[in-house]
Amino acid sequence: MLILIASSAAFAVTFSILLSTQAVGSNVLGDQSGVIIVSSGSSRTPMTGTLPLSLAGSIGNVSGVSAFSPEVLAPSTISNRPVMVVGVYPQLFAKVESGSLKISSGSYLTDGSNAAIAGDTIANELGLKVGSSVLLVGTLNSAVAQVTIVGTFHTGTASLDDEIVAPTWVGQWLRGFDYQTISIIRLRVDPQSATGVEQAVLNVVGGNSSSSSSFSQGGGSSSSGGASPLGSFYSSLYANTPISAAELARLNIQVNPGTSGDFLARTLGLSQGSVWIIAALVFLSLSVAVIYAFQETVMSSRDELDTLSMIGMSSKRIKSSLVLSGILFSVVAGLAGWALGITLIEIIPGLSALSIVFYVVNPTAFALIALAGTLLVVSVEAGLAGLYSSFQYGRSPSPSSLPSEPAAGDYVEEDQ
Amino acid sequence: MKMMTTKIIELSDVSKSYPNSESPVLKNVTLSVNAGDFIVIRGRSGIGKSTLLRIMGLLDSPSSGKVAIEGRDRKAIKDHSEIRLRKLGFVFQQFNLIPSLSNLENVELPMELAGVGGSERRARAEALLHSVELSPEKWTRYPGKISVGEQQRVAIARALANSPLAILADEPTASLDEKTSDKVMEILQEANRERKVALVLTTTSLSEEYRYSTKEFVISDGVLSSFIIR
Repeated sequence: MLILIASSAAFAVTFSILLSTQAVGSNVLGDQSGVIIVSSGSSRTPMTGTLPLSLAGSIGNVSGVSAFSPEVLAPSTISNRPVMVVGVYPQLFAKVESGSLKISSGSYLTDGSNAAIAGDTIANELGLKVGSSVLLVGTLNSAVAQVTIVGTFHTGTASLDDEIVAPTWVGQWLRGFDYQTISIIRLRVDPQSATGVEQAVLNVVGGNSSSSSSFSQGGGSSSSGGASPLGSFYSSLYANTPISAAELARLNIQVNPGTSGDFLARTLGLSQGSVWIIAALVFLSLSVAVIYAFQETVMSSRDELDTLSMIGMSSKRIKSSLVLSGILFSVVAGLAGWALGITLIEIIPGLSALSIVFYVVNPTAFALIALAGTLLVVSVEAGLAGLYSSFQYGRSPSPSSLPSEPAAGDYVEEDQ
Repeated sequence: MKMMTTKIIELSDVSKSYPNSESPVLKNVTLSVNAGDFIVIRGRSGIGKSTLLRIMGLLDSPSSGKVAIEGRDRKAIKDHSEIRLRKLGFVFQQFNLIPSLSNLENVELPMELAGVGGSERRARAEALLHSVELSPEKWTRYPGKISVGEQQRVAIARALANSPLAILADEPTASLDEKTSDKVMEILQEANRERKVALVLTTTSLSEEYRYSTKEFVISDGVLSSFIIR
């Protein structure tokens, strides 16, 4: 029982952490349906790569792209708490996030101001309210920026709700970028045609083998002719700035690097394969514990089962009660193990608020999924172990007083 | 006029061999258990008595020969557990009570398996425990909390729960002292006489007297020999 509880606890903790880590990767890099990320592949992480701003307008004009948002990712701290500041063009960002971003309090961002909006998670954690003045300290560049929180927002994605969103210049200042440099471009596309759009974007930026020798802004397949649909403020997005083939090659532009597996691989040095190996090992240890616990249960109640058989309980009923009691036993142990695991996450410093690249990983947010996973695994394993045990029970010797003669292994249950 | 006897268990030329044993445990055993019989089977330990009881109780199959319960061949009986539940009762040397159930619940268990309703089941269990002279304050105790003699009496009450035609008792007094053995035998023989339950009892003793036994056998080298037929 103790082994099973301990294994279930280990499973619940690992499962929660893996899920929450995976979720951060998904949210940051847009695994969500209908969002494509364009970033530089020449950097270790999409967050630390750079792109020319002029790329955004052309890519935004690719057929199938309904909205685009050039963004600067600026890892920073607020009162020594790591936080990701995202510099955005408010109107473009709003279009990409349309439908998911809801203002919880205050108002949305305005261009050119020193305003910022805070995700609900970080706002709650740091006590940020509308009107709060916040000092952002860049961690990749010696720079600080003071912004005023004008609103808080909620998107339902854990990592976005853990971010500060500010105008582009704030992000560029914190990163030490010039005004023509950004980190990534996010595109909103029709999920049905995402793959086609990815290819079209690659064609535009010369990411395929038949790329042109140079790329000139405004030369996209469905260019709007260089006029910004959003007004003069965005005209720089459409500046006719040629980018040389060599520069494009150096940037190694990638479209949708954003599978969370890549994220984990590139940020933690943790490959998708190793994550699966960890998960499989924990799963296997839990399986072994379930089978061991089941065998122990069967062995310890062997005399009792034989007695039940001799007083007239049918073999079928004995076997089904064996399976059901094993499942019940395992589920109770799994539940206890899960509770223990989640408690450990809560009480062990650092486990409840892991931080991966300025995003807080919150395993307890996945506690219920971990519970479902743990119970599913233990009950399925126990069911299989129960079937095996009941099969073995029907074949193996009966040790009680009646059949005390010859070789024990020779007895065969004759019940039909 | 000849009285017609009801054959409860009938063994014809039953032999039993095990793959790892050199000679058969049972050789051409023929035995009839009739209603009201009190049969004693004597033999030393490991000689095949328990195997014989297992075959009689449909817990094991013979290597050859025929076994019939109330005239029905064992192969024709679809559900052997149903026969054990309703026609046969077992009493073991080690009592084999379920430790997690109270004495009363242990006696109720076969009735519950047979589908007897709650209140009737409780009443019958209490009557049975009363008949084996277990004091009422011990009915709700667990088996581990009463003496071994009392445990065996609870086991006998359980064996009688579904009014079986026969009780198969495997060395029921082997774990008991003389005084307690006498009491247990008294209860078993009373059940045999008054309830007309056939009793098949095995013992390792060759000298112990069973006053009311109708047939006594000795089993040796797998062969069942008549010892006394009263």
